[in-house]
Amino acid sequence: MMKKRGFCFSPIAMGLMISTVIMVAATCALAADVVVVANKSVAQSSLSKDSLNAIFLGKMTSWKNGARLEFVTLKDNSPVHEDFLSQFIGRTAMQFSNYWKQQVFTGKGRMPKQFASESELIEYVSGTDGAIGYVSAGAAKDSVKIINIE
Amino acid sequence: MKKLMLRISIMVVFFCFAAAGHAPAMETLGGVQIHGFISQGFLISDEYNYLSHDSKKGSFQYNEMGINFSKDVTDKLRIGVQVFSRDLGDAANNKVTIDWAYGDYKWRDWLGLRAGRIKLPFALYTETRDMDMLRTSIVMPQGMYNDLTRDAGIALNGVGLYGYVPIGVAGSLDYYVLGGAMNMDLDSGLGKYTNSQLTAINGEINGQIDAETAYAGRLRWNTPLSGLALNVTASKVDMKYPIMANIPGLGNVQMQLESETFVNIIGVEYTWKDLLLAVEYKQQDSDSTTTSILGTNVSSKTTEAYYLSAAYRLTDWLEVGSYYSVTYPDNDDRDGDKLKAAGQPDHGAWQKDLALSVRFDINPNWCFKIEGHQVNGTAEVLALDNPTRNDKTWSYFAAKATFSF
Repeated sequence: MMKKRGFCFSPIAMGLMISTVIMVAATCALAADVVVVANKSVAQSSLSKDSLNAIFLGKMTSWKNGARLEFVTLKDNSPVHEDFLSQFIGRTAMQFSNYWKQQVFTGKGRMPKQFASESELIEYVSGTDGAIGYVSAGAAKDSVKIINIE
Repeated sequence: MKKLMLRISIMVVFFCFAAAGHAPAMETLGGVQIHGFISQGFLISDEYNYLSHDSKKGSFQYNEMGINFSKDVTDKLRIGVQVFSRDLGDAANNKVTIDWAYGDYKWRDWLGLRAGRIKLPFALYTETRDMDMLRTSIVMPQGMYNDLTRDAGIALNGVGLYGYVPIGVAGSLDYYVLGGAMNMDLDSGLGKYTNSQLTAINGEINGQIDAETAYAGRLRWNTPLSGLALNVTASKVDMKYPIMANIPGLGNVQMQLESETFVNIIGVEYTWKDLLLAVEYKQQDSDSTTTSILGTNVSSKTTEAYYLSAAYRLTDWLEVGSYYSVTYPDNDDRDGDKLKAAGQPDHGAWQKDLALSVRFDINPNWCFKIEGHQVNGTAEVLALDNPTRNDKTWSYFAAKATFSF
């Protein structure tokens, strides 16, 4: 009986290990795909994942030095938007949109500014003091500062 | 006449947006943001008239609509107002009300002040209960989010302090404490619900409900496990109202009821990818004193309710959800023995509702839902709409379309 249980367990354990490796690899791949960018006036060069989450949920509204903070996003249908939310905010695009609708319909906040393209987002972030957003790694330009996420 | 004109104006604005099919939020002159929603539902039930007084025949008297205007005056100060109207059978009847209207000054991330008419943060979803598009189900678990008594716990006129506090590796806390007075509009459904409870003494409210003191607090712990949050809310509401009761042998007797109600709710919400799980438990303790020419009667009652829910998004346009909710209006009579001794059906002591919902997102502005409920017990079935309540099990069905922008 014990032998049979062991036989059954092995493929499941193997499957779990393979799935875990694939998921970790996928996460690493995503981590390399999306970068967080900010206006060059921002003094901080790194943020914790929790702080980034708090920024994009509207709970953290100023930088450590008290300077104004404004976050911006790509449109809901952007794959980069989906990747960013999944990797750093722990929500799907629908859940993120719903969260902000909850804020709007209870008077607690306004919908985030959204951009249709990465170049538009970079242009806005580079020209707005305290602004923060995200783009795919290849789209980042010298006009913005890359923020390391710890 | 003014109310009618306002109602018509709101409807016209919505239908203009609806005709546009896909409408983004409006941003008008001066940076004022405008958002709104309108829902039209349908209810039909087999054994009892439920929520709507004529649901056994099928009822379209089931809608909500709201429109809000807000503006960031400075980086720290925000003002806004939401006008709201709803219909639920012969209650509410699309009376136009101020849902919320307040100024919000966020001094620091850990300390902000709100003043005005503020939504109460009861449970996980009270603040957003009127916005059908923000959830999977149509009818929310009634033990926790009773639709007829909505106004007894939706907003207060007062002040609140709130903030966000990171606590390192333990995650973060969101807190919210507020105090003020509540508007208890008898036309909102609260009067109907309370009068239904008073049928046992042939009584009804014959004046206004006075609720000048209410306090509430919420603490939400966003745990280090991504997507897992623990929510605790507590509140105290003092109310008093006059009752006219018809006592056999005495005729009409004027009474004055004063009550002190404590409501404690604990909830857990977990989001993982497209899955949302939630569970909430409520305990409500009410101490009441009734004074009349017959003397003073003091009574206490504990009400208990809980539910478990799950929702899963299958595709961009399709979501399914289910919940199981349980309500005991009198915790000392969970099996209905006291009711039975009083000559009433024992199943009036509980209500257990199993719901299954399907949501279709037609586009970012439109959604449509259908939902079935299988119910055991009649605790929330109103005596006013159902003079006899002999069936223990029954069912109802709901459908709703919502447009929002």
